[in-house]
Amino acid sequence: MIDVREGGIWVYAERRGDSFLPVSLELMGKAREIADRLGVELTALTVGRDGGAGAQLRRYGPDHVLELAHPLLTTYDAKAYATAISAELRRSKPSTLLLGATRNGQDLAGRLAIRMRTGLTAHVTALELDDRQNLIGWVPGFGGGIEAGVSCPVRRPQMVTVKPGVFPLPESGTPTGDVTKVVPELSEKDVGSRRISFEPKGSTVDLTRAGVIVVGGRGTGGDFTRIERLAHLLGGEVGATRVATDAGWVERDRMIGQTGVITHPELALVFGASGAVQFTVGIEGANTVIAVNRDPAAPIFDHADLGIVGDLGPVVDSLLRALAA
Amino acid sequence: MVEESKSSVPIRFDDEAWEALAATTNANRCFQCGTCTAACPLADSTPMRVRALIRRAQFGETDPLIWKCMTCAECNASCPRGVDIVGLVRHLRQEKWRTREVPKGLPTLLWGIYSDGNTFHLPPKDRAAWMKDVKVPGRGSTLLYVGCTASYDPRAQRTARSVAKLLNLAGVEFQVMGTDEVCCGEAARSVGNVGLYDDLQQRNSDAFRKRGVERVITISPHSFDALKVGQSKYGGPQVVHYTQALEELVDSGKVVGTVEKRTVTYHDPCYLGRHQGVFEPPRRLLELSGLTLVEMANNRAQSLCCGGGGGRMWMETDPLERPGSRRVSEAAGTGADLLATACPYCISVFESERGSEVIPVTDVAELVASGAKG
Repeated sequence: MIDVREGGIWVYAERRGDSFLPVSLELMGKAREIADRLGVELTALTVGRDGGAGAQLRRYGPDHVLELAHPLLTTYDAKAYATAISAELRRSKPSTLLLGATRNGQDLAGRLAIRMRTGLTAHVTALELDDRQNLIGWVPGFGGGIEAGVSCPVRRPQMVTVKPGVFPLPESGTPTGDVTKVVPELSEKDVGSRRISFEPKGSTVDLTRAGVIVVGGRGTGGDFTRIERLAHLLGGEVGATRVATDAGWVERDRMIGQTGVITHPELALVFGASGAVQFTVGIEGANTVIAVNRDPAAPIFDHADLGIVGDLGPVVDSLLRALAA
Repeated sequence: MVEESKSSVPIRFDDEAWEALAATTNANRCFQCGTCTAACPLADSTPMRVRALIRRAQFGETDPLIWKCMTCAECNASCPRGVDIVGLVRHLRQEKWRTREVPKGLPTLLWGIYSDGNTFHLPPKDRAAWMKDVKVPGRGSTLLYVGCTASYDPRAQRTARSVAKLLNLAGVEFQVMGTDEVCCGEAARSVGNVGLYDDLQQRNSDAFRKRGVERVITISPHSFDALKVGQSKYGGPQVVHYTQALEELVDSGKVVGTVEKRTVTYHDPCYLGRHQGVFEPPRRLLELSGLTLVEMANNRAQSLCCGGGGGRMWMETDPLERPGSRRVSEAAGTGADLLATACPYCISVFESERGSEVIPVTDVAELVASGAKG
């Protein structure tokens, strides 16, 4: 049993292993703001096999962290998760539940909304309160180039899934709130599926999640061995421009840009790419960009935090030496 | 006795959908002659068949291959029945948005246009970055509409700067919208989002009126077509492509100059040529600059698309299906020193194709500006 006041705001904090998805933390930041305006409590809800990971959420300003822990909740299962969460929603009667519009978040939200006989606004890109303190979720629709404001004035909790990246990631601060672990009542019949093994489908690279990307372009002349080595030493992935992929130097999964992958790494090292906009839109979200190019007038330098004018060979070699040392 | 159909799937005619399509495209005139397929530059490199997609549309079906279409309008130009096949493709794509069966990358494109006012998802505050050291008089009723690509793409920015330089040399009073400029909506229209296109036309119309604009000069043929068609509904300003505006200035002697003697071949961008019928001004500009023009076999109304129209700039094309590489080879085959064109998409596509090392790609305005004096 946890001591949570009725009418609070809950955020479903989606776990990946022992950490949380950025969208869940983004929601924590926004939910704190709304909770303060309404003068209600903020609870972070997390689900998994064990408790423990939830303590990290205390750094994002909750009044409570509620961990639902059960061996049957080890991997995501819509039926089991919805059973466990809906029981807590009935008990604590929050006014609002926010979830990230991830694959699992959307799946779970729909099922929960039906169980709670309440409304769900999906794929929201902005949140505000109306004059009766109902939440309005803004949902753009491209069928007709319109944006709809959706609210749920008669049922509670009001539920919303929010697109990742809409709200800023809050700074982590001094831990607040208490952590309560609850073991929900669950049995095998509450579980709809069982995970036998986990093998990613098709392409094995996902540049959208890479923290470090080492990119090669036309200027590499097709020799990616040192680029690959550098990526390996930095714990990162190899990326490429369209010219490099067209030439068959690198597989197409690794093509960055307008018709390839849009990446958000901490660090992008770009070797021998001129910086055509069709490529640079794919690294716009990088925290730090380091570019190496022979041509001092190459537009890539407009996108770089650090630019090195010179042949990429010697630069890569000295980087490799420094990293191997 | 009529033999029964062997197909187990009943054919279902969707009369309503067909009527809606036929009302704007004359699709009911189609008698399935197949001239469109014969004219289509994709017919020998992709499985898309224009005739077949019209036939399927008559049965209320949408051929998933419609996304390959570059809206180059070779089919429109050859159709003996006057069917607006490009309009038909846009219409069918619009239906696909309702069922969300759209290629990856296109929702991102629309989000970029919707939230940032440009096709690159880049900050609106950077939209005037193309200007660098270019001075703009900032007065008069003529507006240089730069468009998304020439605003943000460093390659195309050079074209915008060249046009501005030539207008300045000729003493033309003109304004630009800078960071207030928004997308013309052509990319949204070509991928089938007419709602967003209409919205942007309205916003542009309001902006033009507020600024007292009577004449719009565009950099991109895509903006030229989109604004010319879209603004006519509002009784808006005259819209011209920069090659038309520059031809007037050179003709009236306001800009003169010759460039290094070289031979050049000219590629007609689809939206300037076939869509809007502007074939001669760019050629005259090249010749008046002292260049020798040699033509490719496929010139003017028979020009071969670069492959970048119809939203294809935002969809990856298999290297074996790219019309651009064929066009670059054709240009190199003329023996010309340069391949000139007048569209930022064409330039971007050609420069990324193999073969562009053999024949450098350039823009008509850049060539004229390189030798021009006021």
